[in-house]
Order: sequence, then C-alpha cells, then structure tokens
Amino acid sequence: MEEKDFIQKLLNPKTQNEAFQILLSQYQKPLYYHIRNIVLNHDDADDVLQNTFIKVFQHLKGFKGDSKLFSWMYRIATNEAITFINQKAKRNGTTSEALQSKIVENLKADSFFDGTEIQIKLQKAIVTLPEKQQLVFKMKYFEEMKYEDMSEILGTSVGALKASYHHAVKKIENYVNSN
Amino acid sequence: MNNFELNKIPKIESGFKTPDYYFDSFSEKIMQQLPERNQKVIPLFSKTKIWTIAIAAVFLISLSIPIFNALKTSSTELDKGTIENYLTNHAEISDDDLVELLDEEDIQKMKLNYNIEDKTIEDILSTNSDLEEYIIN
Repeated sequence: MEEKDFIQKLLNPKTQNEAFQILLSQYQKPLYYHIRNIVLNHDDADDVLQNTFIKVFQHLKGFKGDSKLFSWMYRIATNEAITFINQKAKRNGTTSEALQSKIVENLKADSFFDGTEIQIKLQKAIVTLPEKQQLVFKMKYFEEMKYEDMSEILGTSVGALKASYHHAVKKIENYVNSN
Repeated sequence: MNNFELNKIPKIESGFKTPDYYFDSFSEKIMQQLPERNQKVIPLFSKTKIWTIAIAAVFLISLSIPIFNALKTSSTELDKGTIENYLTNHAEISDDDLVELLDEEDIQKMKLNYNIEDKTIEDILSTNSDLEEYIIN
C-alpha cells in the first residue's frame, strides 16, 4: 500500500521531484555497487548509474506496479550494465568475457579498488564463470541479496538460483585452490 | 592456497570504492539532468505557448471586428454622399432625365406618399389665408 502511494507521488508532477529525490537517496548506493560489480570500473559504473536513473524517471509512467519498484529498478540497472559491457567490448573489437578479464588483470592499478591479494584473486575467479553464474554470485555474495528478490529481478526460480550459486562457489574454490 | 572454502573464511568484500563524497553530489547531478532529458516537459511548454498565441489571436481579432465594421460603414456612407454631391453639383443631369429613370413601381410609391385624406385637404384649404389669391390668379 505504501509503495502504491509512493508511486503516485512519483507520477504526480507536483510531488515528482521530491519523491524522486527520496528514490535516489534510497537506491543510489545499492544500485551503484550492483552496477560496479558488473562493469568493474568506477567511471563506467557512474555512467551506467546515471543512465539507469534517467531511464527509471522516463519510464515511471509505464510502470504498472506488477512488480516491486525495487526489482523493476534493479532489472533496469542490470540490463543497462550488461548492455554497456557488450557495447564496450564491441567498440574494442573483443568479447565481453575477454574485456572483463582484461579489466580484472588491471584492477591493481585502479585507484578505486582496495586491491588485497585475496580480493583480486576472487575477482579473477569470478570472471571465469558463465555470465549468469557471475551475476548470481555477485548478487548473493557481495550484495547479500535474498533469493526471493533475486528471483524477481532475474526472472529465475529460487531453486535454479540456489543451484547456480552453489556451482559458482565450487568453481571459485577450485580456481583459488589451483592458482 | 589449499582447501580454500568461501563459507569458512570471513566474507571477502568486493573491494570497490568510490571517490570521496561521490554519493553526496550524485543525486544533485541527476536532478539537474532530469528537466533537460525529460521530453515530457517540452511539449507541455510548447502547448502552453500555442494556447497563449491562440488566445492572443482571438483577442486581437475580436477587438478588430468593431473597428473594421466602423471603417466599412463610414466608407459606404461617404460613397453615397460623394455620389449625391456629384449629382447635385457637377453632373449635367436634368430633372427630366431623373424622371425618365423612374419605373412604374417608383411612381406607385410616390402616389402613395401623396395619399392625403380629404379632411386634411379641407382643413388646409380652409385655414390657408393665401388661398384666395391662388383662386383669383
């Protein structure tokens, strides 16, 4: 009920700016880290986060309330981030997997990355996973999201997500143990 | 590193950081971009503009109608006057010429105009002091 009222405030031109500011303050941090986990570098995450909020604003009118505002926004952010990575890879004449590996190799030089040995190793392990498993692992492990919420965002059943996460963890442990 | 198990060690953070005060300025940055990128605002504005122009146009037209009418009326009156003046002062038209132009209908109308009651004639005749002179002459 409360969310419905909030959506009404977002749609009403008189209260729109005020409501959107609340939306920004609530979601900018979690959405930033969600995007950053996918695109890996800060400047790209900043670009994608801006595009995400502008898209959210532009499409508010079309938001039917079939899903939660939270999962709708995460879906937009995820799509924007993945599209961004694919387009960047295309511009550089490479695949998104190769691009991700290259960025992870250079993480040490990134001034907005802590850079401990285990953190870099973990990132290197993650890029070896299939795209969907990467996403599931990042959302579960780093963002500590509930399986139910992930299910709404990714449109995958809770069971499949659990299995996906389990596989991802096993592969990461194997990678770390053998490298 | 052997026997590494993720759930047996303290959580490893992603390690990603942001520049200082990044989030403090972020929402302001977005709010500034919204009116520019939001296309809804633009048609709303031009719609108001069109309405303003339309209302101004209606206002001007309705104001100009009486003025236009006034000009139109005075100009036709002037025309009649000019013709009359011309006919009286300059045209070489005799009374006979004018009479020739009258048709049956005009003559009928004139007859009606002179349709005076007998009693009125009698009154005029009896009160007119010059009457005798006319009879004599």
